[in-house]
Amino acid sequence: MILQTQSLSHTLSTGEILAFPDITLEVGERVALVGPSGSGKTTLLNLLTGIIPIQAGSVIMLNHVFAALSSRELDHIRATHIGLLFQTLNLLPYLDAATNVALGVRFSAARRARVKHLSRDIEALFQALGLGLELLSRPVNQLSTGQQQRVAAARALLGGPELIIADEPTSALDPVSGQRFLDALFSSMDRDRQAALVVTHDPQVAKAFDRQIVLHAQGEHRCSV
Amino acid sequence: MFSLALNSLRFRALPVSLIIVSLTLGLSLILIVDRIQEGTRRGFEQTLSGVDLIIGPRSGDLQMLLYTVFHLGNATNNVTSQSIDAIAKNPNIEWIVPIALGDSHRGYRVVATDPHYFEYIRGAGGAPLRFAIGTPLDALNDVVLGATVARRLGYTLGDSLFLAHGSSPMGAVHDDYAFKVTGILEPTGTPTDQAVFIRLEGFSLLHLGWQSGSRLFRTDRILAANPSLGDLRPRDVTAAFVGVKSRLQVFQLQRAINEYPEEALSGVLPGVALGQLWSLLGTADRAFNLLAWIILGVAVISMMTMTVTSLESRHREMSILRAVGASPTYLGGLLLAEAALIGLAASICATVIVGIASLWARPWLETTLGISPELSWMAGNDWLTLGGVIFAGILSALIPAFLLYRSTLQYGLTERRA
Repeated sequence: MILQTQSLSHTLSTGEILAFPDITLEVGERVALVGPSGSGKTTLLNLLTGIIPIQAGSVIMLNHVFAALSSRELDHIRATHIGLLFQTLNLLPYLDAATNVALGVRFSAARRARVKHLSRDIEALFQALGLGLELLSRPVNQLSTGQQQRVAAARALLGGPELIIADEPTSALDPVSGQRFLDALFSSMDRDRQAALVVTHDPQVAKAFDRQIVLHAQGEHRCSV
Repeated sequence: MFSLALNSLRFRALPVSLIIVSLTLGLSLILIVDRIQEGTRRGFEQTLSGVDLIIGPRSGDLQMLLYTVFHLGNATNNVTSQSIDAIAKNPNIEWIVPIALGDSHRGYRVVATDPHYFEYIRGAGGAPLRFAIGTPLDALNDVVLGATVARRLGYTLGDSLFLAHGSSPMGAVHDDYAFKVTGILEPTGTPTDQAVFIRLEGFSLLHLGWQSGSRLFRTDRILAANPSLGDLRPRDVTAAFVGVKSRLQVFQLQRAINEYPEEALSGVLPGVALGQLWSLLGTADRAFNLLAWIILGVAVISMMTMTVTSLESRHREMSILRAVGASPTYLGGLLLAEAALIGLAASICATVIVGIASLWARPWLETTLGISPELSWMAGNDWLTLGGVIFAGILSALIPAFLLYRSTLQYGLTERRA
């Protein structure tokens, strides 16, 4: 099992309490997380990646209980086992595209060890995501939003982490690029037997996943397969 | 880490450049002050280089130094030539040059001495006294002028001048005996530049007809007797400069002079006395140095302010790095690395600026102020100063690094575009 949550809830600074359904992710499983704005999708992803501390309930990833881990250990888990693709992209504007992608393995020796040849692996990811190789050396702030989103995706996929967590990865892409992105993601997952938990608002994208978890704004949650 | 820090600094080129400029100016000021201070101190302590001991009447070291070297004030007593001759026989002494002071010319002090003065006495930095034009003292009425005297009074070779009795510009003039300019010294940046040199015998001649500051008979009556140089050798001199054969013997010689049984004498080590005088006069110099350090302190504080204020805008950058696995320690280290790079850049810029400024300003400083700043790119304590500034820069990044360490990861991951 890659990921398991139990009775997870989070109290926002406004006092509102978000209660989340229990989630289980097996190796190679693809799950879409859907729901309206304000239903807590991004908060849930932040909890699952250790970005915000657990207040109530538990998160277990690859036998690591998050509540028992220090901040440093959570950093290590995130760097080694999770490929993160943020809704806000979060690329470093002063680095070129290739260096931004390489950041994905910079802080994890285990993930770096899975990369056979860094520049070739990055080039392969660029090609798979439909990015021209001429963009490799270009500063990311000179790329379009769609190109930036795919660079961020390449960073998440590099080094074959066990779990891909993505927050609306196709929101800035046209349908063709979005489909290409999903093809690249699923191809990488099949090759490396990765699990994925992906937030999306697009019903067509959600249909491409094995199952969906639906979050409701009022705190009601429904799981569907 | 350093490549990441370098890229981040390049991305924020304008504010970072301003901080580097600010630090560079502060650091340059410190290095320049340090070099001028060192050059001044060295020039000061070498005002009388080549001289191992000054022999004079029993008095305080500083007082003797002031009137023999800096021509300030007057001697309270004289030393007999007989004592000087006796001391000159000491086997430790290599050379001895007596001087007689008391007269002046248009405000500049007259130093009566023997022609060997120009051979043994050296200027700042140990450089020998050189003649811009002319030759050392030879005839009875020869006069050699320091560079400043010649320039300010407009004298050249062959000009005639009269000396005044005493050090006051209003003193009675020895107008019955004219001296002829036979030599002008090159600038040395020492009191030598402001001195008028004549032979001891000429000085003696001027004063043979005087008693208690009043003229009894004219000099031409003495000259009519056609005296030899030996006849005119003065009975008393003000002091004598001494060079020893070995520096190791100087303390032994000093003790022998202080215990000289025939006359109350003092032996003063010029280096030691100059050091004492410098420690008294160095207050303004230290205040200037303090001011330079305050300016640098302000620059370092402004660097810290920039780092703290930029943290808000850099929160996202730091959160991205943490999200991909960078530890808070790594991010703190990144800020410290940036501070070190800024400090290093400022140090390199300041070193280049100060090196070029020293090269450009040295001739002017040497001739006008007698200061010889070191010409090397790195001089004296420069390494310590530069290292200290880089260290201070790193220290200034500790507070923002600590703030960053404590901040939460979630904050800052909200903006959409890179």
